[in-house]
Amino acid sequence: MGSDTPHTTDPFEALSHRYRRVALYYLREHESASVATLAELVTGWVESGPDPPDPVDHDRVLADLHHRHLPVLAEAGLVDYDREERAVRLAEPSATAAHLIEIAFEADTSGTPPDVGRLLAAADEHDGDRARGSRGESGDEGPDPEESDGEGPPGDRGDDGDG
Amino acid sequence: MTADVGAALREFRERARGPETTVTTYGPEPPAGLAPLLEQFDVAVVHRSLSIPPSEGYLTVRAGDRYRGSVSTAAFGEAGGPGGRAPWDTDGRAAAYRDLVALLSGASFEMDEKRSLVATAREIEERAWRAGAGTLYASFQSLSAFRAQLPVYERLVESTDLRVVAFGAPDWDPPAVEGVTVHRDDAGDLTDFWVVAFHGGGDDDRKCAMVAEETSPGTFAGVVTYDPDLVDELTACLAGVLDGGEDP
Repeated sequence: MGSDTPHTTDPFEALSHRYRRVALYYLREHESASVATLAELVTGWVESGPDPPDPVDHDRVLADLHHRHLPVLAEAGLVDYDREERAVRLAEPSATAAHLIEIAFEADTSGTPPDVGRLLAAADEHDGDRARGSRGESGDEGPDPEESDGEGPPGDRGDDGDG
Repeated sequence: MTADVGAALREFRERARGPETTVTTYGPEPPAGLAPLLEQFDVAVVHRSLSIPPSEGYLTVRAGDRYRGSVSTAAFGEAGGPGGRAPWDTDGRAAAYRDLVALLSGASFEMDEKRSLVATAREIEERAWRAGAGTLYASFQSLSAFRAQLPVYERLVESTDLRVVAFGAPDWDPPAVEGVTVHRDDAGDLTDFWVVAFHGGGDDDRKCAMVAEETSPGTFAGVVTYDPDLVDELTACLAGVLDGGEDP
């Protein structure tokens, strides 16, 4: 694993869902965690924040992390996910990903939208990485980070939609 | 009969205890005002550090393997008591404490301060207030304690269809308040207990109770429960005291 390996998911998409961002915020301080720990952390974060979606189902969060969100983070090279052990370990992020995580964190913990200038700079950086061939995704140019799939851009502590 | 009621209430406390409760706090460090509150409860406390602003901190509660819920801990930043405001007050600290009490139902507590018990009982009273109908039972160890609570109960009965049944010592001469019935506990069954129970107006989801026993002078050991079967038994027991007969 590492930034030389092609990833099927780019960091913008990986960070487009709040559950995935919150899991990363924890992992970058703790290195590793069980899915159970992450489920409790994420459920509490969403539930106790302003305008929580009603209701937040812990068991659903647990299942979604296991079946969908952690695999997406793994596909983006951001975590190593041992599905059998249900254990997650932080992977060394690319400079772009680390940059994005920090931008997202500031937005998510202040309730204000992310700094567009910084996001565009990160997107440029990401395109530069790809042009140099250090990340070999094929396909799209990288989605507009403000319009992921409606699942909670950073800074929006509201409804995540279908999770 | 005194032994029966006391024994029944003690047994009730035991049966109201649920599986082991764990409180997990998230934030840069555990909020200063939270530890003293949690120390009163038989709960395991875990802290998971997260470099978020303290105002974004929160806690989660698990009972056994079951996730119970979460509360923002922003209101617990400062040291200080649980907040002694009235049940309907949405004051940050008092409301947050009530939410915490609700999540800690089934966990035994031990409190040395009356104001902590009052604040805990507020959770029961607030549920009664929101239900708007039904019977709220409350025991008092002294007339002065009852008098202090009277404005709250007056407002409860005036603005809802609730009625309040209070139990007090035989030598009282309490003021009469419409909707508030005072029963003289001649046998002294409830002297050592602090009980607040809401019968839910028939709705199982609204039934709740706090039972605490003065196990040593000034120290109360108790528990809060939302188990409707247990609350039914408790209110039947209290009704038995009211009637002066054997509890069923």
